[in-house]
Amino acid sequence: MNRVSRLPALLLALTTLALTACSDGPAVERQRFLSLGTHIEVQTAGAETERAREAIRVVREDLAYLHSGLHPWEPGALARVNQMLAATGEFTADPGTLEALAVSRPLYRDSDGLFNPALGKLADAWGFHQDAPAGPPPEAATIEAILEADPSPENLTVDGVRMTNTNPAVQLDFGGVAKGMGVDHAVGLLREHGIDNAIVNAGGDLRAYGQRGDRPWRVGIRDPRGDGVLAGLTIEGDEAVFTSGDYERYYEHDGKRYHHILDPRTGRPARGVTSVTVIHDEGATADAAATALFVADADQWPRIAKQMGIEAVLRVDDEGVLHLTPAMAERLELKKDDVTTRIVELP
Amino acid sequence: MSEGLFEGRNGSRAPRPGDWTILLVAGALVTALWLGGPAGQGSRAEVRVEDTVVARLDLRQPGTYTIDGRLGPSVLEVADGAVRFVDSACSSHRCVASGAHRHAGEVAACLPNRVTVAVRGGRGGYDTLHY
Repeated sequence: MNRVSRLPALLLALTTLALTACSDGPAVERQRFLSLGTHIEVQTAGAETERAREAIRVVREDLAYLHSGLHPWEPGALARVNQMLAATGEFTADPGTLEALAVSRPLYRDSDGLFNPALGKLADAWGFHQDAPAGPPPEAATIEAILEADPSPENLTVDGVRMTNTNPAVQLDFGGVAKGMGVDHAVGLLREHGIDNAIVNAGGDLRAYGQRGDRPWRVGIRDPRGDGVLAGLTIEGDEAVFTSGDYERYYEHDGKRYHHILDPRTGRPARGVTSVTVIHDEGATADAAATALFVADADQWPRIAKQMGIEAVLRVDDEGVLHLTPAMAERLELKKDDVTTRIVELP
Repeated sequence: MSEGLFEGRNGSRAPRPGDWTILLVAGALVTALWLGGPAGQGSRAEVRVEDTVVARLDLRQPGTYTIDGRLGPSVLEVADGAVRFVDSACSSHRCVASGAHRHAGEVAACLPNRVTVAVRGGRGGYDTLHY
């Protein structure tokens, strides 16, 4: 380097070093695809590429099967089950429906019925059983008739693959738990295929386990009413993070907005809450709990959370106040300072 | 003469003003890459129809792009470092209502038209976004 300055070489070396540091970590395989009526992103860390790709391929096949089996309004296994349910009596149900019912039944009980997968008729009456939800909202008499019939999973008995229904108003809709089941399936399959670290993100709801190299997975929680990230969260071990929000599926009719989270007690969209986020080690439980805690009254939700085994809850009311359990407050790193927070103890 | 950062024992020249500029720019670049801007500002958007990547958009270059999906065209607009659907061949237009997307990890989708847009780039400190 006689007449040549060392500076460019030094800068190049420093920049290369810094950029190498930026890549900090293990091989990451990331794939995304459409399934479960949303976009799915699977990330693995530290696994051999071919192994990761094969595992994700299997996940994708499984989610496609789950989606076709549990779709609430397209022709398929659940549509056939719902036809049989309308006629009451005994019939043979498909394995996907039986699994979803087995997963949902304890969640229905623990939520005091605030998560109710037997209210498919109500969701249909509100116009949510179509790709583009649309009004008009149902007549009050229609809603009252459905609530009067009191459909619930308790109307169904299962013996092997035989299902018996005693209430013709029962129509199954597993929309409040299917994504949770999907990420649980996905994580189970990834583990079976030797993947030790992964995130499965299903349209914003996710389950993550393991680490990204020598650090935990980091999740940004997007501000439901604003721009950017509301809070950061690091995953501890194996956890699912699910949110129910009034902005996910809705329509407007005569200038009024109707969202899809229906209160089983009133038969109408739940009011007073913008979103509920929960953390739990199972996706299905987190999914159903986010719905139930959205619907629950302000003085009721801590008890319901406790019953459902949920310790970490963030409930954002319609005035933008963040109600957090101590377990959630401990986990979240708030990124915005213009928010009002209240800590709510569980019983 | 002692051997400093910019002078070698083989007669390398003393630093010029331009060298400092390069150093500062390189430092800023590395810092920007490391921090990724507030909340992981994305730098590009990957557009897919079904599984096929059909476009990669630079979020620093404003423009309007028409993507042919399963049902028909989806129109994307890049402006102010963000991408958004401005029209689509779906009936609900939820994709349009979802607004602008600028943070790495965000995904906007017109599911009926099978068009998805994922914002990439920008470190931001997050492996994924929950919403």
